[in-house]
Amino acid sequence: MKIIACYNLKGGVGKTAATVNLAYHAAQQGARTLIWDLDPQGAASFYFRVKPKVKGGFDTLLKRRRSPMKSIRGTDYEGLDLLPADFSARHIDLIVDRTRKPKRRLKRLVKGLKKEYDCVFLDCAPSIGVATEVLFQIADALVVPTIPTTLSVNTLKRIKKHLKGMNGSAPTVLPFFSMVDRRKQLHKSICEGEQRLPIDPLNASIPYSSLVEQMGTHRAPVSTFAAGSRPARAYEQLGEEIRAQLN
Amino acid sequence: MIAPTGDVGRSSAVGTDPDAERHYALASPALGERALELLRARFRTRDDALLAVTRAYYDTFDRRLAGEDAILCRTLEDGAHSLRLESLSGGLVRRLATPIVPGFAADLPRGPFHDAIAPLIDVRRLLQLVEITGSVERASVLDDRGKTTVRLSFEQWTIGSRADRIHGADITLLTATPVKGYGKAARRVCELLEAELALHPLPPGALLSVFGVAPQSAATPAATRPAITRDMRSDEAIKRIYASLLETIVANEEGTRRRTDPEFLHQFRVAIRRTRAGIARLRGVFPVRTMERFKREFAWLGSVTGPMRDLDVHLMELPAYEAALPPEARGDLEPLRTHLELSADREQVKLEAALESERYARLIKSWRAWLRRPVPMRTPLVDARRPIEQLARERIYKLHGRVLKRGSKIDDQTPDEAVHDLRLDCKKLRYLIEFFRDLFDPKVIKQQIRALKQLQEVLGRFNDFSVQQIALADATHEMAEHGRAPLATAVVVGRLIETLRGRQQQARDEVRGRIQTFNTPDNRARAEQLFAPTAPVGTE
Ligand SMILES: Nc1ncnc2c1ncn2[C@@H]1O[C@H](COP(=O)(O)OP(=O)(O)O)[C@@H](O)[C@H]1O
Ligand SMILES: [Mg+2]
Repeated sequence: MKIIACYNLKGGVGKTAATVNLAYHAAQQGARTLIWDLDPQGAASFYFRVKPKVKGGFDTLLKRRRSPMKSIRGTDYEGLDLLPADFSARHIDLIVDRTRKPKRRLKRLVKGLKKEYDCVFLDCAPSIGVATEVLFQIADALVVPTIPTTLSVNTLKRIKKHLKGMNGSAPTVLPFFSMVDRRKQLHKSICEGEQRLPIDPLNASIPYSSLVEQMGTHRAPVSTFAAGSRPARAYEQLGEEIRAQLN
Repeated sequence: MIAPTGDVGRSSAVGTDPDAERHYALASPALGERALELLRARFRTRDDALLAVTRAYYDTFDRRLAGEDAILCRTLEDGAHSLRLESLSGGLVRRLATPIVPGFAADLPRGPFHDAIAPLIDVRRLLQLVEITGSVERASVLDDRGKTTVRLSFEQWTIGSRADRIHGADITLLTATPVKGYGKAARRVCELLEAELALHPLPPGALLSVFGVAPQSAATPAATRPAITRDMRSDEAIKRIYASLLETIVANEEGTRRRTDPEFLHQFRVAIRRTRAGIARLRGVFPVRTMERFKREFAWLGSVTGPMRDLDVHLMELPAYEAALPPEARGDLEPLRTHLELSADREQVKLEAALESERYARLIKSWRAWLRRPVPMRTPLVDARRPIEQLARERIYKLHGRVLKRGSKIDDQTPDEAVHDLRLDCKKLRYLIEFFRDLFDPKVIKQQIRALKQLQEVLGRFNDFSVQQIALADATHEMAEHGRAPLATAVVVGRLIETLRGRQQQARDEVRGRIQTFNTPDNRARAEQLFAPTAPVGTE
């Protein structure tokens, strides 16, 4: 089982959009896939029309007082399940901080999913605290949507620095360009490598597209209502590249 | 073990498992329309699609998937093919979008789908159990967020492919599939259908029987033990042994001819080899002229079926070869696979021709006729009328002695030839003991067989690795001749041969030790007790 965390310490960069589309693609390829919506805002849960609620809240889940399987919901797509968001996750740092041996608990929690899933996508909240750090410990890859601006490049630097301090099992960091608008000179120059990134980005990038925005109205992955479109193909390429990186 | 995703997916009885799919067999299509109307009236629903669908179900001949509560389904829906590994008690385990027609595990692309199936079917071939064609009308039951909670499908099936609708038996089904985590909604749907329309769900796992697939496995017929007693005349007893082997040959003929699964040819050949060993080791019981002819004919049958078996074994070894290579080099074996498959297709044509030949038909017919002929009251053959127990002991004892003698001469320097000869003797000895197994104390004979088996294991390994090296070398040679041997493949095969040589040597190094373990005073005493002739030895 591979765990892919979609993360950026900034919001609105396309994390949830990437999680939803990448997970859908993985399921289409035959991988038994789970999305774990870790953002208390519950955007991923919203896209799948699943009630953003976990019985007992995040605390119960982490302490495994109740099997996560009981909270998991099938999405409308075969092979793709969702562990919904819960509002209690807004205090995730506090909960993790107050839990004894949180890493170990989280590892055990994830181990219980191994039999059922080939692929778990974490839709992380945009923060950088103890909880994030613990999550990084269980992830095989950190997929980082990056809008090609100077500011985002700085963000990547921060992530890199942060991971350096992490002892032991740091995940592979895989940045990719998100919401790329080639008409913008800055986007173009950064994407074309004129400005070197602290971590090499993946080749596939996701264009800025109204089809991605329309996911909100369709409440569905792009491929389901715009198969073969530019963003749909871009997410597929991105998925393949990530898969190759993890093998 | 295999289970659909979800930790509640395994329970089997209907009514206890909210996440299990339910199928209702309907008396008429009109009833299906009524059911959908009813659900539309009582629930928030959405009509999804009306599709033409073809499904074909696959399992191995011995139903290995069913043994693990699974079935493989190949579907053609909306112009797209996919393979679905499903739980028999309902629910999808894995899916793969691919046009591949199931065969061996090795035919599937590497990945989670392959990895889920391969351990279940091992070397077996997936065979089509049934194909159904029909139309599927899909609808969803939604909750107040518009989320699908139950998938409904109203299915009208005909057994057979679109081209040959032979059966014409129309089957109408209504299927309710709960989405994980929404068992409650599914229960409400099912309760409504069952209460208002008096529908009864099929028992779990019964879906395939609706399409006429028998639930039990059709195993390859292996030999049944012939009924022989200690004081039976030798000729009579041996004919019974041959007759039961003939049954095995004939029973595996169809599967061999159709190449249903490599196991059929294997059983076919084992029965032939046993028959030949019997003819060779149990002389003096029947007229020499008669036996000479059968001996020659069975040798022919052994030789025309051999190459195909070698290729089968070789193809079955491929995954092991792959495993011995670093991941990045595995793809380089593909040309070898292609080559072996092409060779197998060619060999199969020859094999079929042999099985359809006049010569084969004559052999079986005359052998059967001869076996059925009653043994003569008077015979100049002294051994013919001796009690079988005597003869069996005598022949086994002799061969056992030869095995010990040959074995004692083998050390680490002895040429490989001698090891091969020993292996063949052990094999014959094993066949003889097994022919007459029922004449001996079951516990003691079992121990004796076990001891022999241990020796055979290392000899077999030694032989297999040697045969594989030669076969690989031959295959690369042939590939090169046909211009089908990329350099990378040749390199990889060279590496494999090297590995196999190492393993062969390893087995060779173990041979002496195993012989010593076989030739212990205890084992020898047991053999004496079992086989040493009690009555005066007859002339031979
Ligand atoms: N490639 C894109 N093109 C256009 N709009 C996008 C794209 N990716 C995301 N969006 C939109 O931007 C907003 C934020 O995206 P989202 O994936 O929710 O970001 P995050 O999860 O990082 O906060 C959403 O309204 C989404 O529809
Ligand atoms: Mg988000």
